[in-house]
Amino acid sequence: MLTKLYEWLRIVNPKPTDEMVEKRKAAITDIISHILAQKDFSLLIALVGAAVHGNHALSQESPLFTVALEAIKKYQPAFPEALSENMLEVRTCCAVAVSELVNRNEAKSHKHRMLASSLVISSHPSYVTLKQRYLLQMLQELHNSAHSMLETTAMVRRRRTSVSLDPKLEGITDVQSLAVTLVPALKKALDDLQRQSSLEREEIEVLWWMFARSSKTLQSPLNELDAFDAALCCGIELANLSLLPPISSYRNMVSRALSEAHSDHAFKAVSLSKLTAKWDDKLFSLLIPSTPDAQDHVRNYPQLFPLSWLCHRFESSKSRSGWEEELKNKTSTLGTLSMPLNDWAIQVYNERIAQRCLLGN
Amino acid sequence: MSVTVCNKADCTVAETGTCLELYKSIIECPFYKGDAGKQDTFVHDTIEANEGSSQTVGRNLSRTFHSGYELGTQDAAEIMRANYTHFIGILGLYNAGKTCLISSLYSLAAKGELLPKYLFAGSLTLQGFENRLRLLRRWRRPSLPEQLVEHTRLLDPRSPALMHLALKEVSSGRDINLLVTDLPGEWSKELIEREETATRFEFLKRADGIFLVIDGPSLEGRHRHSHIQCSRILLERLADNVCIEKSVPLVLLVSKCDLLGMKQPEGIRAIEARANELGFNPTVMMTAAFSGKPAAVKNGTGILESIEKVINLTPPFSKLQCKTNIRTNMQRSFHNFPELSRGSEN
Repeated sequence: MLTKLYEWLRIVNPKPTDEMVEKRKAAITDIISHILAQKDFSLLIALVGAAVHGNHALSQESPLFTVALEAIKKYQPAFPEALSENMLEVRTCCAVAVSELVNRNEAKSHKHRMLASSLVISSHPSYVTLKQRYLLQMLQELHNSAHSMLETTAMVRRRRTSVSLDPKLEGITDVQSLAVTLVPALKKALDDLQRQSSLEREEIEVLWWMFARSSKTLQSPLNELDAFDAALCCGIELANLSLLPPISSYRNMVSRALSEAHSDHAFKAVSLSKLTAKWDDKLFSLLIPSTPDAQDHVRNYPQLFPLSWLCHRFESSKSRSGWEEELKNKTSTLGTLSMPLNDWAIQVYNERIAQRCLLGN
Repeated sequence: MSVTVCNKADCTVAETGTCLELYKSIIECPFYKGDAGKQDTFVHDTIEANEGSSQTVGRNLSRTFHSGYELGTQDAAEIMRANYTHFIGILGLYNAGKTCLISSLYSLAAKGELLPKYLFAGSLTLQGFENRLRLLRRWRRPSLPEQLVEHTRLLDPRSPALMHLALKEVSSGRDINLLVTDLPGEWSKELIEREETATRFEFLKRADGIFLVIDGPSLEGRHRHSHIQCSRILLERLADNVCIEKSVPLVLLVSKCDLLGMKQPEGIRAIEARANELGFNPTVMMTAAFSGKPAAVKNGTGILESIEKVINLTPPFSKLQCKTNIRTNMQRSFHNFPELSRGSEN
């Protein structure tokens, strides 16, 4: 958020001046306004990509870089134009913009906030092993803000209120006035009931899924599936059952479901190569979003959707070879990443949630 | 923009603004050709000299390059804005060996002795490093002189001097930019004596690592208690006045260890203990930037390992703390599904 601007600007300047902080604040405000004015989320996705992964998501020709550069130069004309000379500072400004978006409490930016938060969380493997102290600190704070935002919004959505029907009927003598007063009150009460009902349904369906210990997709008990397939199924199926935004408990449920089915494997570290080598071909399509636009975003931003990117690549190329080099070129950190299987299942879940936020369902 | 062109061969007025024919005003020179009207990098400012005559001064507006001696914080910002730079703050008293440390690092890089792990990938302060090593290269006597490098004097006494070194990690291809401070011992001395000078060290809040260089032999000499106390106070200043984050890697570099036979002096333990009390997690490194007995103790011992403490550290990505202030009508277990711990796997 803008309050952290001074601390985060220290990544690129050991002694930022008040003037510099003010100029960047103004520039970032402009960038945010530009993004909120767009009809689609392309620029927002690019913004999160740039914040999370810098040079692999930014290019000299990219629209986001053009917008960011224009905004910065508006207040500081003497700012280098070449990405090779200003990449980290542009990245830092993007991160501040994302953080500000995530923390804004405005109805008009609600969808942007949700999408930005879910993208920051789904891109977690891209930055968890950074050896750059202050950059990691910044991304960690961003990550925590995103989680906090989603959790708060999720709890608000799931707040239980009593349904009351209390129309003001005093002094009403004719049917028409009665209808005018009663209908909105009835509608509100029915909407409340509908909302409560969807919350109940969510809980029941998730609990039944946990109780069944079975994959709906593969129609098989989880403990009879391969551990890696089970990880994929747990992540996707629970993400599909959740109302948006999801509560943080879901991640624990993913972990619990996988651990109960495959206790030997759940906590063992698995490399990305090993994880994906074991996946059944039939499962790739589960993690590929349904619309071409969303698929384009997945293809262009492996930093934000690493596993989805892989599934898309396997599906479209019908081949599992050569991806390590390509992923290393696009992300530089992910190729050799190793995490416990539980964490990979949660990563699948996070990406599916981000996809649903992108698709608006 | 206008440009001055001179017909006289070898006239450097275009670069220096000074006419070889010694005309005070260039326009009066018979060789002056006048404004070429070309797009060029020269702009002429006319200033009034004290006697009323005007003097034209040329100011080159083409890309300015760093002087190559040292960088200030604003110069450093130009490097830092492009790529992540590991910033190492080096403090220590006069003659502790701070400049020798930096010079030794440069020497190792220049001689390819950082291989097989790292390749030298450039420096914006090559001339500065070379200048610091001048004394060392002039020495002809069989044993090391008392003073190997010149004591640091800042070009701007109010601003820290920074030395730049770029490395490339061979195994991963990772580019590593290092900026290390080369501060005179007087700065540390003043920080010890007067806590108000702590504001001068604000830039250290950006440090990826802090090296406190302590003269090894002094920890065993007659005045060891005074040196130990000074180091402790310096640590307290860093913690309480400069407010360095406690999680920043702190390396207690014991210098000139070749004179100690690489044996850790007792006195360092008290300093280490104080650092621990203050909340730091210090590492003690025995170093010998330039060894008097290279057969027994190699030049540059401990230097690279100290740098690696900073550049190879992956700070732990701490678990998310997601506590909300939203009060629900009732605490639903569904919303508080517990996290699985490793012990539950059995």
